[in-house]
Amino acid sequence: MFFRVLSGECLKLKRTLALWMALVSPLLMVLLQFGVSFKGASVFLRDGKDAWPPMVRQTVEVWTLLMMPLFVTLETSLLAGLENTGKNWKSLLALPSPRWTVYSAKLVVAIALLWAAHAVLIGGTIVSGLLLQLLHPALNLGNIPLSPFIPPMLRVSVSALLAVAIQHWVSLRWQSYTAAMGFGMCAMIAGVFASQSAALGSWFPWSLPIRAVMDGAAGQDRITALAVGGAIVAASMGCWEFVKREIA
Amino acid sequence: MPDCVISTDAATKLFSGKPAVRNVSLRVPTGSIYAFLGPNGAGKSTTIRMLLGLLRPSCGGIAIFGLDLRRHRNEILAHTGSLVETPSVYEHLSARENLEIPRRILDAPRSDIDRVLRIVGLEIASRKLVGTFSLGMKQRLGLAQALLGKRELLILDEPTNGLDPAGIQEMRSLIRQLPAQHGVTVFLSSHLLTEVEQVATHVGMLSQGELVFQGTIGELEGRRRSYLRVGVGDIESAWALLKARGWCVSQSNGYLVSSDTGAAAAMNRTLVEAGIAVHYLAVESASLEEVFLKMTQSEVN
Repeated sequence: MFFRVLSGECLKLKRTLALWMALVSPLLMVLLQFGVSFKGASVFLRDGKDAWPPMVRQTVEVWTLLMMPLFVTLETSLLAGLENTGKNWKSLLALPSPRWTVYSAKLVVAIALLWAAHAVLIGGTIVSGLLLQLLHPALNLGNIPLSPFIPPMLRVSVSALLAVAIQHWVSLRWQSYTAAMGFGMCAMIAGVFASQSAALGSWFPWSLPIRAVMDGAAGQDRITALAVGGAIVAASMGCWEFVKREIA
Repeated sequence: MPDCVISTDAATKLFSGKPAVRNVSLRVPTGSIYAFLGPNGAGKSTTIRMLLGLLRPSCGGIAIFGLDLRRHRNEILAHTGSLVETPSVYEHLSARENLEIPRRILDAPRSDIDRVLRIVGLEIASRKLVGTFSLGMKQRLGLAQALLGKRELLILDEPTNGLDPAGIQEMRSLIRQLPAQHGVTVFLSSHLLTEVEQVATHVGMLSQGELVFQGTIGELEGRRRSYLRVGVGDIESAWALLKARGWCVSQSNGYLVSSDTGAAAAMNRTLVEAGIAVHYLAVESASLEEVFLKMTQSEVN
């Protein structure tokens, strides 16, 4: 039953802004990075050294710090909005599928869209780097550096799970788009500040991805455990509340 | 199949301690079109949401197809289609895509989409985006969703809400054919008896959260009271005269009205002998709508 519900949720994405965002947000980031590298290449010129590492680091950091929290907030709100705007809950929940399948299918879609955006970001950055190699040889771009790029993005993908699970719960809990957006924005700002403190940033859900980038592989085990464990707890609590909820 | 598709046992729903629905014991016979009537705010939608498992009864029980709703929710909903108030549709998807979502959940064959589109007459518009549909078309799409799969019961909450007269007529004829042609029992709510009296076989009337009548349309007809309506030249004098002679009469819309239908000739003679012109005299029956209003309003008052 879960997979039947999930396939229905995937169909709902057709022609939605939520689906387009998974493509457009990372590509916007790639485009900005490309523009900066092309026109303001001095930022990355380091005495003939390969410009790939600083470019990639900047891409990962800006995405993690700013774009991703916004993306998570918007995506989860838009996904919940599919049901909230048309008051569709009553007919969706009157279908013969256990409610937990609806909640978890929507969460899986939210996570899948985030990871798809990460895949687009990685692919787009590589393509833009190859283009820059042709158009701007002064950048001295060598081989595509997978190690400073792919592992951090994987760490970010995993450490964002807790924030996604919480934001998903909030978006489904309150039908108001504003409430979910307000919550996400406040959490994002708090996350930026909290990440400046090693002690606080290692616990705050919205700081975990930032710390995953800042701390590197060293602190990843603890961050992964916290993000995955926390996401399971948040998803279970949200699911429990959703199953009990009355649709008036 | 049990005799009653829906059977509730003193179902009650409290909101913040206040009862929205009180001790409602419905009996919806298999194969019937059961009209669930009541003025706005009587508790119809709350009852329907309880029947669909969207709200939990505060006390009392609900059985559908003879199964307890709390324990067999998914089994029951697999055979229960619903349309609750406005149709729930995804406007960015086509009609066919809108039907594909519940079809996947119901695990119904793909051909079922064509079947229900044919029933509701949306075959031609099936690939159009639902955002471009009129309310009537959306309502028909909602009905198509409710008919997907092997549905034995349809629960329709105010299915004609917002429709124009042509749309109402269309929906009515669609509903009328369902039990005979598709073997479906229909439970539909409305706040207007006139809207459903042509299609319903059974009626339940709700007033202030309580079931004030339940039975067949024939039984409801039996509640229609006959009365004598008298049109006279001088209504005040006529009323005073008849009262003085011991008849129980009242004034209504410029006529004298009496429940004593056997006294028509005597009243006529009395009025004529007193020099009061009688221009109308007839024994009439209350319409079903009047019966409905009397039942529901007497509760309110």
